Amino acid sequence: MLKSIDSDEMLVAAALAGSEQAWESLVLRYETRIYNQALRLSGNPADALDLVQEVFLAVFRNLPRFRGESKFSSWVFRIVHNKSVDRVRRWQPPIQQARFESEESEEVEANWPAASEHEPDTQFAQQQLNYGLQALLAELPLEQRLVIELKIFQSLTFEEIAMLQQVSDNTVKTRFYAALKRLQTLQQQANRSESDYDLS
Amino acid sequence: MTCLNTQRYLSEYLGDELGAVARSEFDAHLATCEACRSEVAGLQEVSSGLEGWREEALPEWGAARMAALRALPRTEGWQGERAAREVLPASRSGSHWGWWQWLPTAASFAMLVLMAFNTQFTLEDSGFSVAFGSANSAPDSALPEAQLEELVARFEQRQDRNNIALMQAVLTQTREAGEASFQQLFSYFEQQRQQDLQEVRSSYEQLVSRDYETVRSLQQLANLVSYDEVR
Repeated sequence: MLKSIDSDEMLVAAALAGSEQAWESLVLRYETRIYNQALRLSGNPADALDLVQEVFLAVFRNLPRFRGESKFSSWVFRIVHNKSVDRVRRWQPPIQQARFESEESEEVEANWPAASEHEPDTQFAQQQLNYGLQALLAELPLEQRLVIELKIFQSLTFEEIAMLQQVSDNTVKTRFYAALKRLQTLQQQANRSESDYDLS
Repeated sequence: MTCLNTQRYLSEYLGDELGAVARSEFDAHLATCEACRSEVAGLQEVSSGLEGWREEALPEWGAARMAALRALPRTEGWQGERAAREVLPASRSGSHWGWWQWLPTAASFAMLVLMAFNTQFTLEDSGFSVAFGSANSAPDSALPEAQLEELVARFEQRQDRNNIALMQAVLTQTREAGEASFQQLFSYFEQQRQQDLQEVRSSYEQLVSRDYETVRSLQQLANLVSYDEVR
């Protein structure tokens, strides 16, 4: 019977009707996405997992009040966003630690996919790429980090982000541009450090 | 489109939200402007680099917490909000107060109310009674008028006696204090008189002595004058 239930909304209805399997499917469907989002925002797995737990508890408590006026995924990611804003302020910046460990592993901090594709151990290279991205994102102010997360990783429009953050469209666009410029500068600095290291 | 307009539309261009007409104008400007083309290419590289993120699986050490989350309906049901928090491992977020943590506050408030209303609990043969306010005011107001007058009269007599005794004590103390003060004053005047007499006597003696010396000096002077005349 559950095979015919594949949309989020139907899973929600089934879960509220008492289907434990439907709730479990919802958690399984979203846990990785939420975890990765939290990982990009916090920069470390422990804080990310705390956020995942907090988000699912909030979803569980509020699911009976979910009216279906918006998509379930939008509703969930709105909760993620709000919880992130609350928690990110308490998270310690992981920048220094990330940098230190990244240098130890002899990998470039911001090694883009074109370079890592030649690594023999693709999974290891991918982990290092993610690690470098976390370190870069951690350098951004919270407002810019959230805009990057919502625009690039969650594919929201500027208008949707503006509504979510209760700011103007232009503010969101400015933050987006400023964030990309900042990341570009950081990447160039990392590349220069790599060149200096190779020459020495 | 100018470079200034390009900067204005840059976010929308990179975010793929620029309308078709504006986008073609934007592309046309990029074809002719090296600076803008370089700027856009650099930021697009950053953006595409971020999209290189690959989703990571949840860490294995978090499996127990995720299992507990998946089991929430089975363990707690949709009303089990509080129990869900207790069942799951402690998160670093803030916690709510339990009902037992409100007990001291509630007890303090109840005591305050009882004290404010001067509540009295009385256990009698007929049972248990609760009274608010002073318990002595009612019997006082029920006293007979004659008894009340008698009480007032006794109170006045007692007050009179007390007043007389107090006045006598004051007068006695004042008289004794006055006598002592007079004696002290008399002795002080006597002492001053003797001292003054002594000073007058010594001054007189000094004056007499000086007169005597003056006479002697004159005699010596007269002798000296008469001696010179003889020579």
